[in-house]
Amino acid sequence: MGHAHINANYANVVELASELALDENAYRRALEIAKLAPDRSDWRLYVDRFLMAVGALLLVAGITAFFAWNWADLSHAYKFALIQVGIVAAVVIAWRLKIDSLAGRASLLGGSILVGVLLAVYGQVYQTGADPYGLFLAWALLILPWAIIGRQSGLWFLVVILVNLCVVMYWAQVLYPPEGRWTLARLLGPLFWLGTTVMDSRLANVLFILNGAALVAWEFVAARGVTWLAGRWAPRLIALITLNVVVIPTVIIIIGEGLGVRATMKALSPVLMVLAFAACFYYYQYRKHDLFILTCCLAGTILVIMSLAVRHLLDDFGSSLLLAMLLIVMVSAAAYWLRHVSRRWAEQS
Amino acid sequence: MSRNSVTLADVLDGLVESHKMTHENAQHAKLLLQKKTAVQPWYVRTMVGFGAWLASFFVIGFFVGVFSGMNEIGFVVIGLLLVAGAVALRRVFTGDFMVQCALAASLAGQAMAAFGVIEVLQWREIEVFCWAVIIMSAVLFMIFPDRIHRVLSVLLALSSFVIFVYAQELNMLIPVVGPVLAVAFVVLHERGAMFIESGQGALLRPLQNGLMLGAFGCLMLSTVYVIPELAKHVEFYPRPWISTVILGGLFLYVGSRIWPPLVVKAHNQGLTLVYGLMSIVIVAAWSAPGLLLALTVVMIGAASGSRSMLGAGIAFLVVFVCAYFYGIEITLLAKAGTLIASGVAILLARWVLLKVMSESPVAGASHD
Repeated sequence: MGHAHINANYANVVELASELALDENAYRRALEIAKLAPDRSDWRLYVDRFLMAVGALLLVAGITAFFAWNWADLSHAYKFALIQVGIVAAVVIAWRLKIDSLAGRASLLGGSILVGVLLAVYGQVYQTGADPYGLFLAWALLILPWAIIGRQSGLWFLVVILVNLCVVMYWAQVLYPPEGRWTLARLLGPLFWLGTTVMDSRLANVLFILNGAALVAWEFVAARGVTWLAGRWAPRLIALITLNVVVIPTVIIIIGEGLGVRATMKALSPVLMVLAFAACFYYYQYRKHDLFILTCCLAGTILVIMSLAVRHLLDDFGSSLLLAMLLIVMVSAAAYWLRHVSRRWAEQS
Repeated sequence: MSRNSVTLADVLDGLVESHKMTHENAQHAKLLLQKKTAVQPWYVRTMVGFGAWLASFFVIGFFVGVFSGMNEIGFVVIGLLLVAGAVALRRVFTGDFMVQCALAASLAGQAMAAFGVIEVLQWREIEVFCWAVIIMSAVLFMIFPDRIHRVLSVLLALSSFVIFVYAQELNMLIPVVGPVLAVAFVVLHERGAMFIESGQGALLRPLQNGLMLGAFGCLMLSTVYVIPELAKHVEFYPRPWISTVILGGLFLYVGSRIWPPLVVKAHNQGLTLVYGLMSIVIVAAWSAPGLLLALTVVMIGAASGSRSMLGAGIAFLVVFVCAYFYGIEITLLAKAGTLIASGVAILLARWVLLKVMSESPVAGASHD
């Protein structure tokens, strides 16, 4: 099987035209036949969606910059009033423009984000002293009804992220605060500190179960024909998180044994990783075709094997060449297999 | 037939039907294409590229270890030999494994040769080094038949050129470099057919992608202020308005190629309105030219049906807005003004475009 099922997208058509050295007229005709240029209705759709998203993004960024400019000088009442007016306006817009329209969905998502801003400002103004996990928990609970009635993947993805942050914060601030040198990680900022929490493989395992369950639920409901869950970006991102929280601890366990990493229950992450890979390889190959998630699984597998090879084989310069060869063989095999799988899918469709 | 279901075989059949290709040639082309495969998606290419890059480090480690007592000239010679071997390998073989080997060997060879040259020059005469890299990248772009490698060659040459500009203290050129690359990208897109007809079509997309990514990078340099403590010896030259003037012209030019056929004739002032609004967007984005570049790339990507270009434009827009927001050269009030004005202008443009593209002159935007 060769060209017959190769999709005539822009890259493939240009490649075909290049191979055949088509003249200008034939090349333009090839682009027409491939129906690459959008017609008027396609353009209307692009303009409608893209300019709405860009305009909204710039407006939100601009308004944020404006309040950041004179935030310190505003009274508490003004701060709360501004955010609350924003939330109410977002909900009213979503209601008036219909909750399933693009503008309505964007409004509801914007309102959901403002709820978090309101909670953060509340904590800042009154110095409640509450742990940050409470903020994320309250935020997730408050927007949950909107997520249920809003029927949009963006809102549900936000809920998943908030629950993740809540668990990480509760674990790292209440249950098992960082000790020793890991406390220094806080000095380098919240993102870096959050990143180091994955060093604790117990937390990583909890996050794996949480995100794995979210992914299974998402795919289960989407498979039942729920149209607003048909887009692939959100399940792909959740799958990426799910795989990362078992691959990274596994690599750390392999490489960082001597670094004093808190790797209790350390056998669990590699076991969960193998189970996750097996499930993904099966499901996304035979049940729901998704080359992106299969690529992530292969990249993770290569990373883990290379970590093992570096730890056990890297002893002199000669072994560098061996490692290079091993890496090249694995990546080539992965690319070959992915091409084979996509061809098989094309044949079946 | 829907857009997504069109295959390359359909394209060949369509060319025969419209007498752009003989039946015999099409059959021959189909036979040739039996051995070909589709272009891999971006994430697979990213994995392959990252693997090659990582493997090149191991290869460098090997050669550095084996020839640890070697002088600078030795590094240059070994590096060039590696590159020559990689070119030969890639020209002969097309299998995944050999392609990977060639990529890794070439990147490792270039790094070793560059290290040798810079040691010979004793870390002085950086301009000579930059030109050596530019020439080597240009040669490799032509002779190394690999899409990923060609994009990397373009980026390497452009990075060296920017370093050369800074080394010459010609910082005032930097705000021009990004827009000039963007102009080259647009020209190349329009004249792509000439490349293809002359048999150089394989160079087209790598050059286009390299120019696009180079334009993104240079525009970030000329727009985003860099904290002085992080770059004590480098004077950046953030003068965004210079880029805005050139990119504004380009934005209008690309618009003039796309919008006229889409505006319904019943709307007499439709085109004037569209150009007027595009001008307002240019003025609103006076200190944020990245918005204009992103919108230009998105327009071209949408018009040509190139999802990768469309995605790159959107990704750059988000990155630019974030970088612009965190830059400390401009006050928060000025940033707020630019962002709000651009946002309002774009929403207004959406409203007008949906109106003038509507078949019925009285029908409005879908959600207004």
